[in-house]
Amino acid sequence: MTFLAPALLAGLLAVAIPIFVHLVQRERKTVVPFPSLMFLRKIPHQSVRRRAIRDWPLLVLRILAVCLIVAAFARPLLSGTDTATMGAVGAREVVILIDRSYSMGYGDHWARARDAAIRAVKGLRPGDLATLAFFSTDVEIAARSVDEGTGLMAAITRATPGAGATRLAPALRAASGILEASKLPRRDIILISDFQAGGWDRAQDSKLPPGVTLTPVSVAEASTSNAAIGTMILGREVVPGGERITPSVRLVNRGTTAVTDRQLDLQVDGRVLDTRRVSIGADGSASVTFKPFMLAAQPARVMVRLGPDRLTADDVFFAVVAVRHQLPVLVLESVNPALDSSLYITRALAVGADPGFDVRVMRADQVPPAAIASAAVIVLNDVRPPSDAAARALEQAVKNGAGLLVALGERSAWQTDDPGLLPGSLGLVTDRSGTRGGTLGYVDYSHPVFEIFSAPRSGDLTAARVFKYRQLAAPARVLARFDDGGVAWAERRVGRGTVLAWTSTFDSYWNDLALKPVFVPLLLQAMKHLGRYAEPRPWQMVGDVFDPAAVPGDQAASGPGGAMPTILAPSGTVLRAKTRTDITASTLTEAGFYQIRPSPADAQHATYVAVNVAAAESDLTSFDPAELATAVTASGTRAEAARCQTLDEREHRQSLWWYLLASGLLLLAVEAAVASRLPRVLKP
Amino acid sequence: MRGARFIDPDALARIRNLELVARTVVDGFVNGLHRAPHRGFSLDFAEHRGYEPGDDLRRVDWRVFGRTDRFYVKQFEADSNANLLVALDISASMRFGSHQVSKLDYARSLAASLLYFSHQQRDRIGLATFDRAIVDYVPPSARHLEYSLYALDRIGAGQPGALAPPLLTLTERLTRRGIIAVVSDLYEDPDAVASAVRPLRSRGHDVIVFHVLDPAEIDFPYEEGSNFEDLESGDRVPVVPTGLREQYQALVRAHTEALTRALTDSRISYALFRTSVPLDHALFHFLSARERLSRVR
Repeated sequence: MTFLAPALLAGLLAVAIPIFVHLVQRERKTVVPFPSLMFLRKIPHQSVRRRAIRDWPLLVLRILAVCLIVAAFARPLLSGTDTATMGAVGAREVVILIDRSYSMGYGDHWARARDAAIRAVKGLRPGDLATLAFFSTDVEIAARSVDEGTGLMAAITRATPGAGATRLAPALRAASGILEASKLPRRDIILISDFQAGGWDRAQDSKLPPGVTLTPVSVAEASTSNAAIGTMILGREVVPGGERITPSVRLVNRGTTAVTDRQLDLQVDGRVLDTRRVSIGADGSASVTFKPFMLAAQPARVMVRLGPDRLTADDVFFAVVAVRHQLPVLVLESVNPALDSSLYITRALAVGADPGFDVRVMRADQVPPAAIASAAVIVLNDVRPPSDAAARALEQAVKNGAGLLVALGERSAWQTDDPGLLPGSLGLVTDRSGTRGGTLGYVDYSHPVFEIFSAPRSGDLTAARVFKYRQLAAPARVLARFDDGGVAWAERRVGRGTVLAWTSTFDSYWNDLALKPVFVPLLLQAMKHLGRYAEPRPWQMVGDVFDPAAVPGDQAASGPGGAMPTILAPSGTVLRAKTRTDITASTLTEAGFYQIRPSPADAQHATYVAVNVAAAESDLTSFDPAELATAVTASGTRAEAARCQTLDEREHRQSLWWYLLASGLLLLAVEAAVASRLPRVLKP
Repeated sequence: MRGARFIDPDALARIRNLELVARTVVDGFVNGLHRAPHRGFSLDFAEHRGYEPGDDLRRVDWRVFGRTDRFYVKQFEADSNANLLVALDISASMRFGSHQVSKLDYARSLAASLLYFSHQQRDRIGLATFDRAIVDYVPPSARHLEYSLYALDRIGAGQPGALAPPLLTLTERLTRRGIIAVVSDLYEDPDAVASAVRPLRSRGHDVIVFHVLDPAEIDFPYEEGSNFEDLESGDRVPVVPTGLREQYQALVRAHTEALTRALTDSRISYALFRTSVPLDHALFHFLSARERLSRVR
């Protein structure tokens, strides 16, 4: 039980009034005329003046009425722990969940959350067990089922808001798991958060076990003001001498008041290149484009910083921009290729921009092994595979991760001594030219190559007519079949590489696929897939798992001599990886530039990974915790009583003062009735 | 008292005419006696004495002279009407009353009844009202009933009372022996009361003290703690009655016993009357006392 206006409890001193009335005042005010005090004065003085309280029920009524009225004016409210434990007995297992997402850094949210957590810890009684957990994107258990509050207090005091986003469901599931294992009769969850609307995914099942009560403690404010950098767009333009980058950012004002004349800085590699002054209307957005800069061979660290407000975590945005690398593609032809044998391939790859392709066309019988080894994707375009050293180089390249695209035509011949890369056994030619040709009857749209065509009106793969194709028996994995059941596309994994087979050609003789709109995207997609191309990500998000592909060039992912690199978090924390798996399993928990050094002391060759906070977290719009309590508990009634966000709101919702005041007035009425019926014997 | 018609003092208080009050009381009382109203007041022969020069010749008993040839004068028991003076205390304390009849109302009715009764006996009647001194004085006379009743009727606001000074004044004024009825609440020390009354007795007066008290003064039935204010001095004392009722009653009881003892020792008749008791009792006591006094004399 707490009071919003405890100073008014001083009014309890008014209790002395009825006691004074009963003891003193009433005697003095009532005067009884008497003929003579001769006898009264003969009675010992102390006996005459002795004051005794009569009408005890009346006095109790008056004192109680005064107490109730004073308590009503002090605006009492039941605290969260009070309401949670109301009516229950026995020891309890309490899980205190504290939201440490970066939005808790807004204003005094974190201080209030910390105070609420400390109050919860202080509310523990002997025999109670408490678990302290901080959550944002993930859940961190700071203390598990401890029965002493000192450690909890220290952990709460040490904690600071992180960079993650609010995720209520995982936190509740973690708490449920802890409570399910508890044998104590009472199990409570105290959830302290700002209850952002984006933090609760209603689709996730977060039902609490039966008997578990949820007490939400909200630190949200009714009105907030926050401007944030939503995202960054990096305009790229290839110009003589390199690549020109034009950064632009999208600013979002999620507050109800306009943001005026805020400074916006663009920093590249630690130097301020451009500064703007921005104004954003209430609940509005704005885009700001900075002046371009030339990108050198080394990746550039780009940072845009907005003048700070009450939530600073979302006022800065990081990116790492690197020069794009073209994907090397080697197209191997036969000795006497058809006139347009590789025409469509080269033309299609030439238009590829992200990534670009460095296409080389060579004769299969003349290709040097080094050319094969340097290619990311090798295309065997209606030709038999190279032999001897080139064959071994091809096999090795594929096993090392290169991609192999095989177009099977009339010149294709796969001898038994050829590398066993083909995803199946090559058969005869199926000629359907007598009819109108065949079409694709089955396509595995879940495959990365065909995935882009899965959506309606995103490309009709069945539009192409295939008049001839080579039969492929015992395929490793069929990705597409013709309408007659023949294999059209097949795939096979060889080592780290992938072999993709198209049982027809890429010219216009055996089919008209190259003439269809789907050809270019299909081919580009196949090249990306085979070349294991991953689009460079200028930044990652907090909570993501470290992606080595995000490291420009990936060469820093392993140090010299295969040594594991050293990762420095933006805060300076050193993350040492023993294996490559350790790196890829690392979760990014801080916003800023992660530094990856080949060795701990080699800062010169360090590469960087930009990590940003989730933009959605900057939307401080909160929801009613009652909804959460109702949704996740079997009976949200008890949590309902304690769901109020702030003390004011909780007091307003509980309205205990009204009952106290009504009770006090009722007692006064009863007192008046009783007092009027009591005999007042002034004259016998 | 068999057959007597007792009249509630509260009922008498509603009668504004004092003579009517007195008549109502006395006639009712007398009719209830079924005896001659002149008992003790008859003209019965008492003794003979020798004629002395100056005696009225009409009082010579000629029959005795015929038998003895000597002059004797006849003397009778009640050869003359008695003087009755009612000394009425009208001090402020007499204005107290816990019910409809205050002590002063009761005493006034009592005085009127005594005066009327004595007037019917053809006594000379007089009235003296006093507080700390004589306030009004009607000398005893056979024709002073109206004056006395008028004096009773116009009793004004009293002052703090004292018994000795006015009674001393009466002692000096009354040269002829008679009956003195003192009606008061006697809020003085019993010895002081006796000392104040004793001079009257010493001058040969038959003194009857009527001690008039309200029932509340005797029983002290108050319940609630209050400030008790002295009607005469205005002093106030906070009192919790429940804690001292028994002590108070014992003090009153001791006071009346001391008064009885002190006055009786001085051959002064004393009677305590509650204002709730019908006046008939007072008249009965008066007659009893007068008869007793007459026998003693």
